[in-house]
Amino acid sequence: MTESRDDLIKGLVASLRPVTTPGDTKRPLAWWLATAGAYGVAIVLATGGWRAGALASLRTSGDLVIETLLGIAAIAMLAHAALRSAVPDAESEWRRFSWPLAILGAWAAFHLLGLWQTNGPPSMLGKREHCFWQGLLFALPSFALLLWWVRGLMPLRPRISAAAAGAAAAALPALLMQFACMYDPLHALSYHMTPIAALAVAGASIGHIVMERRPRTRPRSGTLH
Amino acid sequence: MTDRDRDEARWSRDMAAAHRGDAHAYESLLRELGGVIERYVRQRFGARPFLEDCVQECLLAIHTGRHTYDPARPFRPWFFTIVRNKTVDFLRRSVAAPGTGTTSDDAAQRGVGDPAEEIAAGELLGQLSPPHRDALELTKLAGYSTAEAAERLGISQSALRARVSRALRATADLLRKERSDR
Repeated sequence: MTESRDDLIKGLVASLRPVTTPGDTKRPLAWWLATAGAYGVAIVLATGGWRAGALASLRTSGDLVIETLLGIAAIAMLAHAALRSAVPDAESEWRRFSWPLAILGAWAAFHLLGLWQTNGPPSMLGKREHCFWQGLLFALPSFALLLWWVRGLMPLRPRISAAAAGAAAAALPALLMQFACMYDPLHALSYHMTPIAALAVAGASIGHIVMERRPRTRPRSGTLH
Repeated sequence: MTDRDRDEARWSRDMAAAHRGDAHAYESLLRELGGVIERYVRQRFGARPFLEDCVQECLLAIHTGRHTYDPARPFRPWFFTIVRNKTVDFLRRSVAAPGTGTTSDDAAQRGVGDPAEEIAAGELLGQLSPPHRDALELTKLAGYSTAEAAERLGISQSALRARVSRALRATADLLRKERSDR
């Protein structure tokens, strides 16, 4: 062993601190879902509230229940995949993201299906102006929070982790807009779901900037945590 | 129980102890892993001047990311994913950073021999296509500047940079395709 490696190891050992919850992604996921969910509901209520009769339609429309459950599952699975992708392991990214993307695809497919088998005629009731931008803006704090948690782990492929975080964060307002904006599957696909793709793409770029760690300089004893 | 199983159990146990703040177990683990990383990189890229820097960078990454290791999961996939990733990062950064290249004279002074002989020393490099292998070998491993390497290969500098980029992608793919728990 070289002398410099020996020094490095001594420095690392000297800076050792106990780790309370090693490898934990479930707790951050639960916190994020609770926080982002509460924030999403609050911001919707603060900016116009629910469409009249929207929540009651959950009791009468089985399709809407399935659609909502798919949305919730997509959000949770995307967020979980974002966090898991920041923990080194042998699982391929394709495998990690196949289920979340499949559920997200099924959710979008339900909207597509709605173009032919609607739960009722499209209605302008509850229409929000600029709902695309609202969805995108509503998603930003949740995105920042999830990105912060992801960054605290060890994202070895930050673009992918951040893209998943962006998709998860934007999927939440997309789900809430089903009850807060006008009912029309085409409108939902065009204006509520597209922020998911937009924030995933933006997230990949932001992730590159925010999470690509510069090479650290040689550590000294006591300088690391 | 095989040596491999014993290593796995010991590394996992030592890292779990390190999570609790056991400095002795952590030091023992880092020293052992340092040797494992050194063998891993040498086997794939040959005995290179950058070997020690690469090993230390991997150890540093393991230290900063130790909180992501879950003792309930196998240690090897976690460990080798970090090592693979940091090794490729190390190569990529060295190529991408302008002005880090040295002249062929410098390379010769450092004891870097004929590129063909050095290639033979690393089994992974042998799996790359000849254009990728030459590009990677000359620019990073043998320490030639981009201009020198491009001239030597008879291609433009931009073509060389593109070739190096593809070679690094191919290297990362090859490392990922290896058994995940090596």
